Amino acid sequence: MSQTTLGKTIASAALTGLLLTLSLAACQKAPPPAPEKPNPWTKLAALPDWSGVWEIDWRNTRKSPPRPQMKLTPEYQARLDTYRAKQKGGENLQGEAANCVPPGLPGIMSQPYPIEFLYQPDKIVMLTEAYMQFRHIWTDGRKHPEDPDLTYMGHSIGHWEGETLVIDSVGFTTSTMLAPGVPHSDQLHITEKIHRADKDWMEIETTLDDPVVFTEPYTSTISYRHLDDEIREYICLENNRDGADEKGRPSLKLEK
Amino acid sequence: MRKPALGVLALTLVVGLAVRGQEAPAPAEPKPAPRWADGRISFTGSPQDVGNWEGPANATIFFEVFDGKVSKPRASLPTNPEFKDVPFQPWARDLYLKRQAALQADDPHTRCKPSGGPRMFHTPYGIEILDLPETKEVIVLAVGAPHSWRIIYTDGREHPRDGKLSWYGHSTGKWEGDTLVVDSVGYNDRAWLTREGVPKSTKLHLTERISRPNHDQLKYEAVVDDPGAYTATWGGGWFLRWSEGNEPFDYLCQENNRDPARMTGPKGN
Repeated sequence: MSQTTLGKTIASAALTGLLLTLSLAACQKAPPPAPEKPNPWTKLAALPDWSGVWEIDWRNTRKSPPRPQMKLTPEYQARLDTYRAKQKGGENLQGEAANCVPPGLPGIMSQPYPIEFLYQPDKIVMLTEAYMQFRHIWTDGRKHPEDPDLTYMGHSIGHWEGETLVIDSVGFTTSTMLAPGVPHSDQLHITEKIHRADKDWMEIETTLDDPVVFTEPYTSTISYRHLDDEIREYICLENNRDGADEKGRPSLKLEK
Repeated sequence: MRKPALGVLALTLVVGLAVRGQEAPAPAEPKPAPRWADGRISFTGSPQDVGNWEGPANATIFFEVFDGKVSKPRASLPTNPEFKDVPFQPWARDLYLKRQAALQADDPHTRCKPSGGPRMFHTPYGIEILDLPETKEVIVLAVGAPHSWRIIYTDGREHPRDGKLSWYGHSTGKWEGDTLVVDSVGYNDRAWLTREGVPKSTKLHLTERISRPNHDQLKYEAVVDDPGAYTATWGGGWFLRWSEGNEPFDYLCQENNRDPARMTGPKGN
């Protein structure tokens, strides 16, 4: 069938359908006119421009205020004190990240490698160069699942408040750490508020809430610098020579 | 009014499909591939059509002979070559047969290494393809390969002249009608081309043709131009299945991976 014939067939079928529609419509009371189907990409074009890649201000060249102290429950303060004592005693306390297990959220957001945001009609996908991971932030209005599977990235839903993206995440595996010596419970709830402060900077305000760990929610802000660069391949497992100690923990001693 | 209006749309698309979907092997009349408002074909889902692509684990890029019988996995393209017709260089043929004899015991994928090229497209757990006209990129998100992403630049750029060799290579893409044609170079020689252990060299120039003949199928074709491992250009492919309702999930190959210890081959290889 030629393109023209095909076009005619489609047009004819559409006309038949339209007549059918009209006759059906005539049998009912006058319905309101059909809303125009919006182009899902038009909506995205109105969102703030976050294109390019963003790299954490690891050395604090922006002179941001230092991160506040975490206010821990007595149990978790005791755990941290024990951790620090072991650290002082020279014990190997490396986490699984040294064996290329990604740190999960929130750790994945403070790695010294770029991130990139991809707008989609129903979600925002975040690529992280560190460990080559991706996050899905659902912006289609869904709620968190009632009984989420516990994962490294958790379950994230987001909405826009003006030019700020607000992300709410729950459902985290307890395998990850919030900071060295600070684990968390399955009640961890993370809120991230992301906005572009100016041409060069993005700010991410992160609030960690876990009633088992904190006496009050812990909020800190990280700056990300805009880079005229591209996100690149990162393979932690490529030639990773980090050996394990007798307990199977990363030794951070390069194998000869 | 809304429902009848959608009826017109569906009717129009079904008529279009009668012509467009001829090459699809599915028995019943499948739904047509969705399109964006501007008419471009979509390889992805939508809030009303949640899902992603399931890589067919058993699909092969060429047909093997087992017990004297040619094995043709259902998802593979019927036009795939047979093993005897693949223009291996002797070393590549030997390496392939060695990997087969060892039951793929030294598969980099089971050590959580990335899977570039065709290998990514027949790894299960879900593949999502994001088409980003704004930034002129197509991103492939693969849960099983392992939970990673690949970028295909569609902004007209060329490959870097002396790019670093990598697991995913450097990919540029362009649309030929409804088919995304991806051109890639710069692969290292460590990954396997497919899960059966098909070798490749650093001279690999890969062309992938990705199309969606209907709503439920993604057609993946790879043309292998690798003068380091083959004496001529060859290729094959398979169909991926639309996995309705599937969304990307957390998958950490590195977490409690017990495969390498078990993958020892028939003689503790």
